Amino acid sequence: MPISQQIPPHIGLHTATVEYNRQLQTSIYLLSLLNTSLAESAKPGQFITIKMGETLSPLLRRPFSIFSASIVEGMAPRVEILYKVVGPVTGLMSHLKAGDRISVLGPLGNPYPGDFQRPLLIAGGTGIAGLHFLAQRLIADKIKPTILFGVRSKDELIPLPALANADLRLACEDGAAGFCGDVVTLAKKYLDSHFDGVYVCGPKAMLNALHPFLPPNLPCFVSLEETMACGVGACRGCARLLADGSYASVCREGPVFKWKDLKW
Amino acid sequence: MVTDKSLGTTVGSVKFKNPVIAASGTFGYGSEYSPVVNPAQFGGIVLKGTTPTPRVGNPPPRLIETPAGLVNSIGLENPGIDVVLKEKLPALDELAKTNTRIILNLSADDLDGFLSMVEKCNRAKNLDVLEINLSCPNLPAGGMQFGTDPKMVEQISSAVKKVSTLPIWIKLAPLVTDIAVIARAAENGGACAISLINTLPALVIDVHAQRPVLGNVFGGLSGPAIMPFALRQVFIAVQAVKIPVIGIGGISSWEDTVCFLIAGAKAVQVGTAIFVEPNIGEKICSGLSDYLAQKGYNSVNEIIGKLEKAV
Repeated sequence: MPISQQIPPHIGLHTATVEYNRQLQTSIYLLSLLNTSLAESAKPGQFITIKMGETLSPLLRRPFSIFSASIVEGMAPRVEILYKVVGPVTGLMSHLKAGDRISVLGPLGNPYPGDFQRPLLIAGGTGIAGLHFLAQRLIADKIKPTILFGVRSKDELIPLPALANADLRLACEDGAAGFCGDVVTLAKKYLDSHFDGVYVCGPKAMLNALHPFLPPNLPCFVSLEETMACGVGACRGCARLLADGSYASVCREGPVFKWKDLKW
Repeated sequence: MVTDKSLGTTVGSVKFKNPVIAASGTFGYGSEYSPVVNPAQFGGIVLKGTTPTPRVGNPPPRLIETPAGLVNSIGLENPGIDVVLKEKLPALDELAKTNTRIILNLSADDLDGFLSMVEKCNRAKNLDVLEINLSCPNLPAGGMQFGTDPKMVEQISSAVKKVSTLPIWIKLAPLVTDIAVIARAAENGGACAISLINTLPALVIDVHAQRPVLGNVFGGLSGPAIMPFALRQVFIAVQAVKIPVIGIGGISSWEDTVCFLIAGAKAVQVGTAIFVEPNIGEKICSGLSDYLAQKGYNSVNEIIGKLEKAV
């Protein structure tokens, strides 16, 4: 069963102003968007869709997990998204400058549920984005999460200053930092210990590799990525096969799913 | 919401407050987009393609963007006619009050499938029109096969018309030898209007995997890339029949809409453009109003069919 069929009440079509577009690595950027409604309503696990350019190609909006949302007195309400330049849309995004205005739809989808005291967060690549937001909120609630963050090489390592108070463990496949190897191998060392809940986000190959090692009795939530068109469950384009043989829309019934509800 | 009286149009016996209709499969069952935009922006909405029994749809991936286009192979995922009538239509009470017309798109593998659904729809609430899909590219049987055979098109149109108490639109396949012959077949069968075009059959290949991108191998191409072809088919259909024609295919602006109206369409359907701009109905109506005012027209009806008179 989907976690929630309810669309959050705050979603909408916004025009957001770029506050900054910081290059964190060769092809990884942190984009800050100023918009009060988005910043106030965004919850960890949710996403926004962005339309780049006025031309017909690239055409569709693209979904991005929310990396952080903050409303701090004396500062403009902002949401941040983390993105890697992989195609024409993210290529255009890399040229965004402070003051540019873009069309944003959201926040969309269901947030990470759960009320765990000892959560384990497992992220692969830019899958860190939504889990970073979750970790921020957990830390604010006086819960210290353990975060396993895996990257292929040092070109994908990014600063995460907001997670200074978390137990952050890096896995780098080229041995540049932290554990030398992939994040699934690192996760195997942790999954049999004392955690009471797990949150995962990363590429499909990582999720499939992790699947055999998840203890069946440990509550686990996963956030999925999929090509989307509408973002609200109207087109049924972003289908994911469930354990019961039916399909769920990643945008509407997800992007966060109970691990055991999915067909692996 | 656009309430400009000059935008009103009539398709057969059905009055529309504006000529912009949300196309089937792009606006769900009318409520999915409600938290984002006002569905009443549209003159009508065509609900997602519905079949006699529930369908889980095609294996993913179901979508891939192509230059100025989108290829989809959803495979008519839908809960079936009984659930649509019992749960989806009754949820549209508020929308029905705004005079946005509600149209249900029906797909089936055979004539009996269509007839059983049409009969059930006679008792439905919040329903103004039935759009019979003889053109779905993503069904193993039926769908597009029906839409390419004029005898079949006439037979289904006629049988459905006899059973239905609601106006019948026939949605036609784009890739036929002569669209005029198919359009006339629908008219001879008694269709109240025809709508065209559906998506174009398409294939996208992943060069690295050397495999099709879509789970179902083939899909249907929509979006701005198909607009000039759609316009050509609509213009030919308009000249072939006396019943109203609804233009569909890659419409993403008021300019595109004006093109279809000038070509003779009584109304248009927008689809892929909704994904890009969920408020596209409002934007098109606003641009259309300005265009009519600038050109000195009192009503959108004054531009419908201008091309037929011009060539």
